[in-house]
Amino acid sequence: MRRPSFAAQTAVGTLAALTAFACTQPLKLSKPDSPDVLSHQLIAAPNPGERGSLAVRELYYGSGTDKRRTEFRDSVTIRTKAVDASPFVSMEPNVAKDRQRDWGFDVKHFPLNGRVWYPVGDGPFPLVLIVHGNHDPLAYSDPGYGYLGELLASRGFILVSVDENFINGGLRGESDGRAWILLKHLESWRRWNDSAGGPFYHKVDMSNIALMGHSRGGEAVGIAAAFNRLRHYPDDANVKFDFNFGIKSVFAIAPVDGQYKPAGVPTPVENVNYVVIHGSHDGDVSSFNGLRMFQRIKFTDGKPWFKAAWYVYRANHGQWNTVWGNTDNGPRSGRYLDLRGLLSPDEQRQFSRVVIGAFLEATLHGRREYLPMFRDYRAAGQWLPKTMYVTRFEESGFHPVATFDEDVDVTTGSIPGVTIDADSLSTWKENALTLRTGNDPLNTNGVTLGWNNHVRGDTARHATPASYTISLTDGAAASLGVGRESSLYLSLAATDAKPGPRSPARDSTKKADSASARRARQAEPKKPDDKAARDTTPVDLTVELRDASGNVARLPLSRFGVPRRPLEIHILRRADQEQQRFPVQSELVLQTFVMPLADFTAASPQFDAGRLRSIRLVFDRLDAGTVVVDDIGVSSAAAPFVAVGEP
Amino acid sequence: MRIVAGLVSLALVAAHTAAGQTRAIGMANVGTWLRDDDVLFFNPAQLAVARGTSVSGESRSTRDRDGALSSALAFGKGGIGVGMTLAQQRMPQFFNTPNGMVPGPDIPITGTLVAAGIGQTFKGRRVGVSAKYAASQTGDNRLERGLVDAGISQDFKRYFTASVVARDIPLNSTALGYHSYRTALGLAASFPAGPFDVVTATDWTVDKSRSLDGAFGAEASWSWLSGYSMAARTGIFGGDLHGINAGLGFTRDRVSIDYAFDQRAAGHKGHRLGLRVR
Repeated sequence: MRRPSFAAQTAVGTLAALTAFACTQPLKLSKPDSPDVLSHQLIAAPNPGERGSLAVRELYYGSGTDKRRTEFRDSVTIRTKAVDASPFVSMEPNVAKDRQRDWGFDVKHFPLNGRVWYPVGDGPFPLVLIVHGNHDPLAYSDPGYGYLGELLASRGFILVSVDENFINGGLRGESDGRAWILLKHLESWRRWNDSAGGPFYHKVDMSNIALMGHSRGGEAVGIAAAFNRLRHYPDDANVKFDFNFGIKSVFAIAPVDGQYKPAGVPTPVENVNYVVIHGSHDGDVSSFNGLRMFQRIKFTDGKPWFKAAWYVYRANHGQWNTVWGNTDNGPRSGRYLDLRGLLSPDEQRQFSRVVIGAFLEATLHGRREYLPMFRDYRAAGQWLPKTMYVTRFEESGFHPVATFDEDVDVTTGSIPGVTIDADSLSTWKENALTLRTGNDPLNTNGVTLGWNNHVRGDTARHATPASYTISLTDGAAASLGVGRESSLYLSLAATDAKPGPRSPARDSTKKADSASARRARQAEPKKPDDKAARDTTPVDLTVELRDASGNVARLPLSRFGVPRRPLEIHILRRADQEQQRFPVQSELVLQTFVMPLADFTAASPQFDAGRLRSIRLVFDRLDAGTVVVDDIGVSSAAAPFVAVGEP
Repeated sequence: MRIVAGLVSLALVAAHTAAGQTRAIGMANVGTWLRDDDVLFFNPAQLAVARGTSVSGESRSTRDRDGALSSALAFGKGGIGVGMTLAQQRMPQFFNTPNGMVPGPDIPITGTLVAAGIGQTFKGRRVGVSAKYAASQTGDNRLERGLVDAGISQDFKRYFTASVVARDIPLNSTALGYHSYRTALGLAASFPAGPFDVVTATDWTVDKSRSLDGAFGAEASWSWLSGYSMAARTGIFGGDLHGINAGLGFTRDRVSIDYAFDQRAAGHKGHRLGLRVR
C-alpha cells in the first residue's frame, strides 16, 4: 500500500490538532438552592398560571388586504384602517422601496392587525395588548403568545397579540413607532367598545388596560405609557397626541432600553404598575436593560402603584415566545450560544404564566392576594419553576433614606437629617452601578461595603464585626412617617470580592518594625486567584434597628429574602469569546428586602418601631465579604405586600 | 522551438489568467464573487468587501510550481488590495543531432504577475479597478505588459451576487504575444442548507475571438462551534484545459488552512496548500 505523502500527513495532522482545540467550555451553573428557597407556598389563592373557568374564543382584526398574512387578509372579523407611521419610523429610500414591494404597503399605510383571545361572557373585561420585538420579519412573531392568550382569556382578560412584523428587520430607532402603533390599536378598541352591534360592544373595560411587550416591544410599552399622557410627540410637536387611555399596568419581557430617547432623554414613565422580567441566559439582550426603566418609574400621584423586576436564572430571550424558541440570535446561533443550561421552554413559560397572571389579576382584577409574591417570590414557591430568582420591588409608599444618588458625600443620606457612618469596613465607597457589559450604566449609584473580621497575623482572632450605620434625627424620622406598620427597604447584592484581614490595632508603645508587625506583613493576603474555587459560604448579615430610647432589635437579613452570591452566567459556548464580550460572568442584580418593622418588634418587644432612629447593618454572619447596597428607605404602604409574612 | 514557445505560452497563461488562492482554485477558479483578498485577481469590485491576507503554494511536479500572495484591507467606503503570483517551470530542452534527439540543459521559465486594486461601494453597488504588471522570462528573453481590470458587483436579496468584469485590458501592445482581453460574468448564490452553508458560483468569460469558457464551483461548509468550520469544495471548468478541481478547508476564527487539488495545467495534477488570515 502506498504511503501518504509528507504533505498529506502534515495537512491531516494539522487539521486534527486544530479540531482538538475546538471544544465547548464545560457547562458552568451556580449551585441551585430552589429545593430549599422555593419549598414554601404562602399565598393561598388559586395558581394564576393555570387556566380559569371562562370559555375562550379567538378572532382576528386587520386590514383585510394583507399580502403576506392570510389570517389578516381572509379571516378578519373587524376591518381596520391603515395608519400613517411616517413621523415615527424612518428608513432609507431603497429600504422603503424594498419593504413596500415585500409587504405591499409603505410606512404611511401600516396596518392595525391583531389576533384576539377573549372570554365568553358579558364583561366588561380588562384589555391587555402584547407586542413582540425585533425578529426575522417573515418568521411571524405574533402567534407566539397564544399560550398567554388562552390563559388570560380564560381568566377574564381580552388579550391582543399585535402584529408589528412589518416593522422588524434592520430598522433602528423605531421603538417610538412600535409604541405609537399600540396606542392606535387602543383607539380602535375604544371605538369598538362604543359601537353597538359589534362583537365587543361594552365588553371592554377601557379603564383597566395593560400593555405587555417583549424585547424591543418591551421598550415600546414603556414609551407607549409615556406617550399616552402627552399632548405632543416629543420629537415633533406638530404631531399631536390625544390618547389618555386607562393604562394601569405595563409588563416588559426582556426589554431593550434607550434605543429611543424622547427629546434625547431616557423615557420617563410615571404612575403605572410595572413589572420587568429578564433571563440570565439571554443570548440577545444579554444585560438586564429593563432595570433602568425599573429605576426610572416614578410614583407621583399618591395612588397605590408598584413596580417589580425579576431576574430569572437560566431563562433565555426567546422562550417567552413559542415562535422564537431557544436560538436567540437566529437559527444558526446554536453555534455560539450555550443552550445546555437553559430552562426548558415549558418551565420558562410556566414562569411567565404565573407572574403575568398574578400581575394582571392583582392590578386589573384587584386580586390583592397575589401582591405578596412581588415583594418576596418565596411566597409563591410552589408555583414557580425550580430555578433561582433575584427580584427588585418598590411600591408607591416608599420614602428614600439613602439612595446614594444625590451627592458625593458618603456620610449623608437622601433627605436632610440622615447621617451615615461606618466602622471597620475595608471597603466603603459610593459608585455608579453598571450592567454586565461593563460600559452600560444603570443610571443609579449604590454603596459598596467590604469587610473582613479577621485580624492580620492572627487569623484565629475575630475582631468587632464591621458595621454600617444610618442615623435619623427626630425631624428626619418624623418626615418619613415611620410607624409600627411601616417596613424597611433595602436592596443588596453580594459580590465575589473578599477583602484581606484587617490591620491590627496600632500599639504606639512598640517600634513600628516589631516582630509582630513583620509577621502581620508576611500574612498579607495573596492576590485573589481568578481560577480558585468560588466561595460558596452563604452571605448574610444582621439588621439592627435602634429606637430613640436606645432599645435595639436585631434580625438576620436572610429572614426577608435570599442574599445570594452572584449567579454564574456563561451564555457562549466558547470561554474566550465569553471573556472578550463580558468583563464579568455575572450580572449585578440587587435583591430587594422588605422588612416589616413589626417583625423587629416581635423579636424585641421593648423596641419601639415608631421611634426608629438608626438602621445598622452588622456584618457578623460572614467573616469576610463585599456587598453592594442601594435604595434604603421606609414605607408605610407595604401592608398588602407583606400580608403573608415570610417563610 | 515549438516546444519552447508552447511552454512559454503556458507560463504566461499562468501569470495572466485570473488565478487566485487555494479556496478559489478548489472551486475551479471561480472567483468573481469572492470576499477574500485574492478577489483582486478576479474582480476588483469585490475589494470593497474583501479583507485578509493569504499565501499559497502549488506543486505540479519538481519542475513546475507556483505561488500567490495577496492582501486586502479596508479603505474609505471599500478596500484596497495588493498581490502577486509567481510561476516557475524548468523546460526540458532537446537537441536534434545526427544520433537523434539529445537532452540539453533545462531552460528556466518564470511568469510573474503583480497587481494592485481598489474597490468602493456607491449606492449599494461595488465598483473597482486594478492595475497589473505581467512579465515572463524564458532564459534571457523577457516579455512584459501592463493590464487593467475593471469590475462591478451587486448583491441581490440576501443570497445572490452578480458581477461583470472587463479583464486584462492591455495598456501597451508591444510585448507579450499572448492576448488576454476578456469579459467575465459571475453569478453566485450563498444560502443555508440544513446544517451547511453553501455557496454555488459560476464564472463565464468571453474573449475577443468570442471563445466562451465557463466554470462552476461549489462549497459546503459546516460549523459546529462559533469560529470553527470545515469546508469541502469542488468545481468543473471547460475550455481547452477542462477538468475538475476539488478542495478542503479548515477555519479557526481568523485563520484558514486550505487545500486544493488542481488540474488546470494540462497533463499535471497539482496540490496546493494555502494559509489565510482575515
